[in-house]
Amino acid sequence: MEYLEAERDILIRILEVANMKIFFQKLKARLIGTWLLILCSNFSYSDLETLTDTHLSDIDGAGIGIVLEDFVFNAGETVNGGGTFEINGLKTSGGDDVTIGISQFYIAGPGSVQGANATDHPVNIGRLVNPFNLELRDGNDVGVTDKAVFEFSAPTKINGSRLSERPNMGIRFDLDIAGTRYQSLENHIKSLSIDGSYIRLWGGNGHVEGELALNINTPEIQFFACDSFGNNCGDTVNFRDVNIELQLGSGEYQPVTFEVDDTGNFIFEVGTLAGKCSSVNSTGGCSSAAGSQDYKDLAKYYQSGPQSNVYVDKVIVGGQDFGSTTISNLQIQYLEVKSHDLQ
Amino acid sequence: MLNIFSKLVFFLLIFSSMTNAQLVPIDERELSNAIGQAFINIDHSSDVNNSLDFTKITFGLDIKTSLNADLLELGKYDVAGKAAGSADIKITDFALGHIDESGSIVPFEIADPFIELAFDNDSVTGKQNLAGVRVGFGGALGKLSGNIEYLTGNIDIGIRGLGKSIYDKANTGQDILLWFAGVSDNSVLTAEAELVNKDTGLSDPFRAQHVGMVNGQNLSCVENCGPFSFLLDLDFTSSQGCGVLGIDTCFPLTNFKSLDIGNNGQKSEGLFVSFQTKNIAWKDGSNSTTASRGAFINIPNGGITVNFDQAFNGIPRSRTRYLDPYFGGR
Repeated sequence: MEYLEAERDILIRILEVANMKIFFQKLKARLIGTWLLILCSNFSYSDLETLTDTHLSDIDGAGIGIVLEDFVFNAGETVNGGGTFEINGLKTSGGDDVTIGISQFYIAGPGSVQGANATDHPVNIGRLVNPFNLELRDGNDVGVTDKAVFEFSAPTKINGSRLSERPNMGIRFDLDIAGTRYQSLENHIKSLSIDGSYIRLWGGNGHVEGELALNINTPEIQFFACDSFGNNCGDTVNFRDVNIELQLGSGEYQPVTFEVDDTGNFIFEVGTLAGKCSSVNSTGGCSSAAGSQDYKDLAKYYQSGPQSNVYVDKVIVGGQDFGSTTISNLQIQYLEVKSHDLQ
Repeated sequence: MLNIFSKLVFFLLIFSSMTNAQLVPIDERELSNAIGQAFINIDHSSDVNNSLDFTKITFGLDIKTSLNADLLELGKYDVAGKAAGSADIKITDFALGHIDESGSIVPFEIADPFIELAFDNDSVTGKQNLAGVRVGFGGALGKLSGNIEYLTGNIDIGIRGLGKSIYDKANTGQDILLWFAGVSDNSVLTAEAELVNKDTGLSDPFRAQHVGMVNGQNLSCVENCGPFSFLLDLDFTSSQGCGVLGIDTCFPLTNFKSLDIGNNGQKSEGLFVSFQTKNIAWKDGSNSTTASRGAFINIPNGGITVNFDQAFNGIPRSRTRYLDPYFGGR
């Protein structure tokens, strides 16, 4: 008799992926192995058997934990023999062709020196006891009544990730308009943490609804421009001690939706608070009784509903300090974003 | 990831023997119906005289929103001559959009937002310095609310109203002067107000706390004017030290708690927030706005028009929440 062993977490480990070449070599090897298994599957006759109640009771539905150990992603012309990821099809307002080349993109660990030495400095993304999670949650726990909610979440220990678990990231954009190359722009993010971030999705009224929380914590974000070949770079714009907490949507009370209409344009919405109060006064305010559910829901929303905050301790350019930037307790009561053609 | 990918392939192939669907190529006619959505433009321009290059990314988006924030503060650092703890831009209880008397949300509307980068070409070293960035809107319409404590930028406010409002503020001597200048209760007077230093009456676009008529600026009579209305153009009726004929012409920015952005119900162009390391002339079509070093907000002329009563007495805050502290918590 064979039993399928219930696993509390399926931990996915990618070991010693030094760069994309090795990554794809391993991918190729794994695929060959998979094909061999498939070919042999015609000769296997094992049965799946029902789990007993005892075994079933051991399953706690903790979902799938994801940890990437010793992870490095490093792509671009400096590591792949001239290969550059390009975005084409863009236009200027005058109709000229625009190409954006991404000539470097890396995710690596401390010591990667703005991508110059990424492959020797891997990073662990997530921790075995605190991984990224894919799971189905009970909607009643997250403001969605009697529905299953799909959740993809980052590690939950906010700002507590060890240094080796906070990747450095960087990207270089090269601008080409009608065959003429202009400046390139580089962006580097040090020791990034997105702990506490999540996206939740569930079935709504004929479409997918969701909510989003994105936390970004980094000691430094840098921008600087270089010439069209990535050399002769100018002054660096430094954003020091950047903390961003972005929350969009609040369960089924204020769902976030993303749809594409029949013209091919997208519509992104954060649900409106209009109509949440059953009665309004002469100035448009909520006049429901203080003990009523709609009043309590609104009061709770304004007190502890989704809030976004941005704090940058210092903006420094070429040694000049332009001080701090703060946006606090931003609440979006309604948002609709619709795309349209510019040409 | 490899394991999952392999398992996925394996899993799909298990079921492949049960499927009979066939992929068929899309014919030319169907293919011609597929369109790519061109909702992004990227433009490059140069200001040769100032050795600046600009790259502008425009998004084809129509945005409607209603939002509140406790604090919007940009560029908080100490500068000689300005109060300690002040900022280039500081607005408390900031809000976009409002709620009308029927309880409907009247959103703030934004069309075609853009991000623009300015690069400074150093002719000596040949280096490209990132000198500025701005976030702006091709069009904006709606109410912007908040307590504006400090503002750096260009926020030209058009004042247009009836002479009666001036008479209501004037004393007997001023009444006589206004009458002699041909200003009646029904005369329509206009003036342009901008960020100003209350103590000197001089233009002060850096960390301003007041808006008003700068020294030497006159009221203009544009309708129902008497024969001697030209007297309004004389020096003695021009604003000096934030006053005309003893009537205040400068007002705290905090008086203006809700501003109508837009021009006669249409979206106005040129609204932007920028940050630059030196003075940069940002261009919108044929218009150019020079932004000073640091954080800067531009609300173009025609974006805000108030009447004299609003200028003298301020503009009350519009409702921005269903439970609004500015409306007794309800």
